Amino acid sequence: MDKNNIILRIGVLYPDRMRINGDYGNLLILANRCRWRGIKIETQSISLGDPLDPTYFDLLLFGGGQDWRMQTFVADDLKKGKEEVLQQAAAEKTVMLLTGGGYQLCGKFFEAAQGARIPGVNLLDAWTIDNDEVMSGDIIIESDWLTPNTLVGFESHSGKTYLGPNGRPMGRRIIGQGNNGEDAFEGCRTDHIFGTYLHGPILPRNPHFTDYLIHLALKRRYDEVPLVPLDDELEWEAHQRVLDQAGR
Amino acid sequence: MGLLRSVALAIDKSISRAANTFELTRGRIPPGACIAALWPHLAHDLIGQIEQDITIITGTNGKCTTSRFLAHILQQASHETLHTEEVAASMDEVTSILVQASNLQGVIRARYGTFGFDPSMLYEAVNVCNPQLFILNNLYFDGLDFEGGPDALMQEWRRLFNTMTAEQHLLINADDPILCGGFVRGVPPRVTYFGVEDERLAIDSRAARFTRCHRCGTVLSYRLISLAHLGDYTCNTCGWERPMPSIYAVNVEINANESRFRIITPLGPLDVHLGLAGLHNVYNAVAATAAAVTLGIKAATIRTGLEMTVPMFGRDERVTIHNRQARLMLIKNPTSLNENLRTTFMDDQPQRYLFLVDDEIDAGGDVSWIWDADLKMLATGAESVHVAGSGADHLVLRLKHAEVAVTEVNTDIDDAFHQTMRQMPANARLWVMATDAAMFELRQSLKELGVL
Repeated sequence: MDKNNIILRIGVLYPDRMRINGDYGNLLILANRCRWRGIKIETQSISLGDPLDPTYFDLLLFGGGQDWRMQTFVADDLKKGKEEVLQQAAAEKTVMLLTGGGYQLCGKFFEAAQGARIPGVNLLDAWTIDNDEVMSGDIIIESDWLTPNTLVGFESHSGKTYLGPNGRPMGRRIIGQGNNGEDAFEGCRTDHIFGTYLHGPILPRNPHFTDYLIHLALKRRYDEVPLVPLDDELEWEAHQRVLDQAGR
Repeated sequence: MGLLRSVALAIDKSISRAANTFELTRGRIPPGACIAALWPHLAHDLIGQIEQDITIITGTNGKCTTSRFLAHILQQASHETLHTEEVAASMDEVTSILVQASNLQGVIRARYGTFGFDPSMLYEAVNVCNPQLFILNNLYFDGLDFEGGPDALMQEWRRLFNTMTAEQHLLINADDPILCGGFVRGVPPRVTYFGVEDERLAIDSRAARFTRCHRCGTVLSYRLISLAHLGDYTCNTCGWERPMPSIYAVNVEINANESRFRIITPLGPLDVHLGLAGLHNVYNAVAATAAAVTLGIKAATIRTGLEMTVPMFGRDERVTIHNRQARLMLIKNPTSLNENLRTTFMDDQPQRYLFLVDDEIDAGGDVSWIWDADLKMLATGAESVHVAGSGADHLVLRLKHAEVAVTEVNTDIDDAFHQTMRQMPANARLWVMATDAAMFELRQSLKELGVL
């Protein structure tokens, strides 16, 4: 393997419709942490009506939207062929980071308070019910699959998400509301698909999670690619500040 | 007017005056809480006493400045005008302005009203104010806080426009395809488009790359991008394009301190010299001019009114301490930060920055939006970059990923400001970019020092 020719292919889904709360930051962080290690990055936006190759991308980003109507446009487009493509991509072990609205649309359905439903694309065993109350503030979760095991972020969502029997959470919420403010969970994941309400965006203050995603994504097409450690002092200071404020 | 109402009105006026004097509520004036309890349709009844026209200004950015421009033009024409000053948001603020302006009998003497409203509040505002003029300034995706986003907002606005009468008048920024796409021709109100036309203003902008045709969904092509997604656009698929403005700025010359431009109007050209920098203020001035022309104000009066307008609450306020100048620039979304940086790079002096970032949740302190701002220009152009405030670590990380070297980090806003000023050579300038709560804190301190 020629280390100079490692390329990570990132697809950004609906950046014109689903990119609030600094979602661009997630792409920037992934790109920089690869670039600083000599890993090349190729990015492509996929929006309404655009084709999506199920095998091409190593990592897909699907960001937050501004709730019901915005997501309806995107959901309609997903149902015009992209749902199957995304499921095929999932079978190809494409890594996916789904935040906010992107997380909601990749579950089973999103139900408005009045009962109308936006069907999801069934990548995750979760569903979302809209709610009048906005859950907003700092959030900390503890995972059982990451080292260190905490993830920090900011949440701001009105939808309440519930996990089905096959839905594994990203973690247990320590501070914040998480999926619904009722049970202990935040997010939903498989081995390579990660749905979460953490934004702020999620990746800057969670460098361990960022590298976890990069590592998984590179494994799709390359043998083990060692990730050179980076100077993450600022990242961990910011991470720790949230923990400190919560008395952790 | 009963005695009880007069007493309640007196209490509310005192509260409002005290709140304004001491900035007790971060610029947001408490509404007439006492009198509102006794007077159910308070706002409607007070606003109904405004003798002539009411103008409502909405958009994500520029509402207060546009309101201020227009109010100064009208006041220059000797018309008593009530207007929003520092904060545009909801009917509460307008109610408070009305309460302050009324006498103890609940009587208001004003000829005009110009009020800025948050886009999400437009429906309520129209119902209460029954305005004759609407200015639709801009809709920056990243600055919009409306459930459903721009598409949902435009649906709501279309319903609103359909209820308007032929006597009402819409003034729309032709350069904003989101606004123009949302408006449907043939609805009752009269429409005037305004804009800016100067090829020298062309910039590259990520926001424009995502803007789509409202008819067919194709990403728009721009002949010129002037600011965020504003510019001269066309759809290569269906042919929809920017409407021709009838009131627009040309020959726009902007530097770090001021702007000069000509506004083409049906009254003839107006040569304007603003003591405000930034293309966004040119847009605000053209919007106010469009309204003033519609209200029948003379050209010379419009020009004088624009030129006498000075900055307010962190919109390029200027403070001098020991021969060092600080320019206070409010940042609230990627567009305002990008535009403020654009202004600073017109400065001949070395660019020194102090970013003040708070992350107070109750002050809207989610600063995720800094990741959508374009900060990479700081990597090569900045002499020094200081960062302070409770949310400093967010910005420090953001700057790291723009490969900008941070000179110093401080959590205390006041200390950071004075230390940075002291470190500068005499006659140097500091660009202070502050979020809302941080700006409030700094201004309080500068007021106590007597320099603001």
